[in-house]
Amino acid sequence: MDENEWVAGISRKDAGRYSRQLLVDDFGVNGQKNLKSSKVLIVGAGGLGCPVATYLGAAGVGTLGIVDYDQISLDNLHRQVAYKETQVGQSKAQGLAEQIKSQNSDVNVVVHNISLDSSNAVEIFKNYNIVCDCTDNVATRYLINDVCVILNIPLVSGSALRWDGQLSVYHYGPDCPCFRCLFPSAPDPSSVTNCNEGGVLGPIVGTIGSMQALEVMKIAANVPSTLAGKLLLFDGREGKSRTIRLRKRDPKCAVCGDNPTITTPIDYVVFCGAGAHDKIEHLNLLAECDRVNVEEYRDIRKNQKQILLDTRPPVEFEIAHLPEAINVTLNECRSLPAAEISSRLGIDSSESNVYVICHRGNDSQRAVLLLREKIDKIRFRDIIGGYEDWANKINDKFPLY
Amino acid sequence: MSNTIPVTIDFSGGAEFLVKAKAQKVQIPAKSTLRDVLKFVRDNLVTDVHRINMLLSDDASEVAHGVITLINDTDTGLLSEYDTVIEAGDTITFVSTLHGG
Repeated sequence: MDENEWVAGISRKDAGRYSRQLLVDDFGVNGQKNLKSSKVLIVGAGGLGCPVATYLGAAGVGTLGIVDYDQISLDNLHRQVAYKETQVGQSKAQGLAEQIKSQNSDVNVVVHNISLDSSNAVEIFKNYNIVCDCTDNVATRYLINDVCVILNIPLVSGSALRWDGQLSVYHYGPDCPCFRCLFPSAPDPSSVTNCNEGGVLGPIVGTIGSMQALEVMKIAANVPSTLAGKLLLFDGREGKSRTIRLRKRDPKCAVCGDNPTITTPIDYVVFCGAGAHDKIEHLNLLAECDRVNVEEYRDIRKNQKQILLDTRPPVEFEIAHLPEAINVTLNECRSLPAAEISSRLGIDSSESNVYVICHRGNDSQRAVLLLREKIDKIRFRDIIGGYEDWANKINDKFPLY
Repeated sequence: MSNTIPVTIDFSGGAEFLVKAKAQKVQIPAKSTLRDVLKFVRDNLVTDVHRINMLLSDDASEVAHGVITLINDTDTGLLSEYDTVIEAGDTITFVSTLHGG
């Protein structure tokens, strides 16, 4: 036989590079080839998107699209581990693409530096055969789900908050539900906590993002045991995870049902009553005379020590507070009797003014409304913009978070 | 003596902040349905009544949008939904879906 002839399932270059995953049973040469011909779209280049993109790029996915409109900020770096300090202020989609390219130059990386919405999602999604939802808000999650169903693309969906993560595969196989089968109606926006408010630990998004990458590899390689029709719940605090069985596809579902009413993307901001981002709200609940700005408060406290009620949760109070601040959370303002609040604040009969502060000036207004009803002899006023304004306008050494 | 059965009720995904404890063993009336359990949770377990809308509808006849209920790790959508009869030793779980990333 000729020593220059052999039968190869894969190129010499790929055999060398990917040897350790080629050796894994049920993945192998076939899985590698399928992964190389896969076009995977990652929506959201944040805490989930970083590990998803990093592992899929390293594993040799053919095409990787990355959608994100946002820029890298310093408070992203604890969990968005693909980014460097020198990249703060730069585009996330571009930054993540560069990271993938430098790790594996064979990957075709496509940057979509754009805010995904109903007008552009179909055009972008139609070029891909697997989509990963790595976003941070309800409106975009419904948009992604609906477009995946409309274009018949499997959706690998991850989410995380605080110590917890959740993971599922939607619209993959005839019985598999979509996100809308489980949640036909959007949650009340006031009941949704995002990472900006609730916080999240890096290894939690790292765990869920890594598992999303694994689900993509299973779908690409036709491994049957995906999380389609199941929901994985990860409790990082207890070190526990469990996988639950979900209901089947709902024949009455508005998008994946037998007679769908949603056949093109709808207005998701209207549907959810909330915008397509996890940015901060700015409320205006009080009359101008019941509010002081940080410059005014600085002058007031300079002349005489004031009573300052701080409504933030204890974890935030511990980060930093003004020395006169007394921690009575918004929830305590609601639930504690007037006498207890007065005693916590050290109010005596001579007192007539209490100032109320929080992180950004929303909860402080809510608290003033509650406290006014409870304790009528005191004039409660909130500090506009809270500690964020204090740090930005009065003292930039105050630890901002 | 009233006829009760022991069950575990647990909360995940943020719903645990509204109640006394993340998981608790309680006695509920025998032959209760999931619908009865919702009212039991409202009347006996919820401590943060001002944010109860994160967990239950106003009259506690349904869970809030975005909450999945499980019995022994199975979506009640695969069972008889709110009419599912609870048995002694069952674990009933309320999962709030997360949206962060």
